[in-house]
Amino acid sequence: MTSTHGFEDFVRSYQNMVYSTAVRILGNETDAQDISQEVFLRAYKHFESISKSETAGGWLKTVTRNLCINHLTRYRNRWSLFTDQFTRRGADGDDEEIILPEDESSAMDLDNLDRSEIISTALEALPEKQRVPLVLYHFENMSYDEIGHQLKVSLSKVKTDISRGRRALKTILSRTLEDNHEFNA
Amino acid sequence: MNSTPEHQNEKLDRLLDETLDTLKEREAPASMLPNIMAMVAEVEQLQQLTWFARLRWPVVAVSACSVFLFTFYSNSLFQYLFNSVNVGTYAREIQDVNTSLQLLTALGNAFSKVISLVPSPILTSVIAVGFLFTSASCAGFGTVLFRLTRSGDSMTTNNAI
Repeated sequence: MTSTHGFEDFVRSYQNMVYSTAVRILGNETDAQDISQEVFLRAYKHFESISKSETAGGWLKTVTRNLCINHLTRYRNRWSLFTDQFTRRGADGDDEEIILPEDESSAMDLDNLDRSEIISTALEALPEKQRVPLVLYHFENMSYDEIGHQLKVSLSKVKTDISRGRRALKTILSRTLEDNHEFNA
Repeated sequence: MNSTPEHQNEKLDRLLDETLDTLKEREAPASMLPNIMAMVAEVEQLQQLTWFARLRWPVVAVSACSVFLFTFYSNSLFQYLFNSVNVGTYAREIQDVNTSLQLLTALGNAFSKVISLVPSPILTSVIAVGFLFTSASCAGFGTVLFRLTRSGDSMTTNNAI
């Protein structure tokens, strides 16, 4: 049977990568942790072959991505309720503006906070339909076609959602820069 | 200094790309590794068990089997209880139950008689066809249910091992 010590080292090596992927796609730490555990449990079942493979990281990323998307598809209704707490409908009823959670935004000292940290938080607070394609495009290096195929949506919808997500993030970025007086300098 | 909206937008686009490219990996919670290893230990423990203990019998199936077996042997059980316990007050009710069971036994006997009248090759063929049909139905229903409940849960993509 598999060596559990070897597997522990394996988990230690990849846990941040798997967790990051999950939390970016899901936008929720608790679910990301559950999915990560499920990924490693599956990895344990194939550990004999995975441990010898050079593409173990790729395998883990793919499984994480598939499980996350599957999770979002299965619990879409629950998720739309969740994301509603963090989003507000725009004038056209489709464009949405990110509102960071109350406690987090008040706790943020924008002058001191790293720009990456703000974007990271804003990314996780994006509505699911914008966050998922954006994350798949930027972090999973998937093409628009692949994203459309994976999410079962049209190519134009993928482009629109990524564009809207980016616009929302740029708004946050712009505000941050203005607060830091960097933008017009 | 060029500060038109287009220029600012380009600058923001560039900055956003740079920021997204440099985003660090999130650190996994400290509890994750112990949780995973606990789950792995559970899997390992499960592997040590005998095949019978390893199976997770569904409660509904176990209950259904219990009810079936109880019904099958209840005639003897009721007879035994009837003979060993003083049931004077409930004699009539028990007699009703006994009558029903006798009726069931008679039906069972009649069915056995009919079966015994059927020529052996035909009976074997019918049993074989019935078995094949039941297996095919189970496989069909199972596949449909699996597809319905696990749709999109594909783990075999091009990148996967």
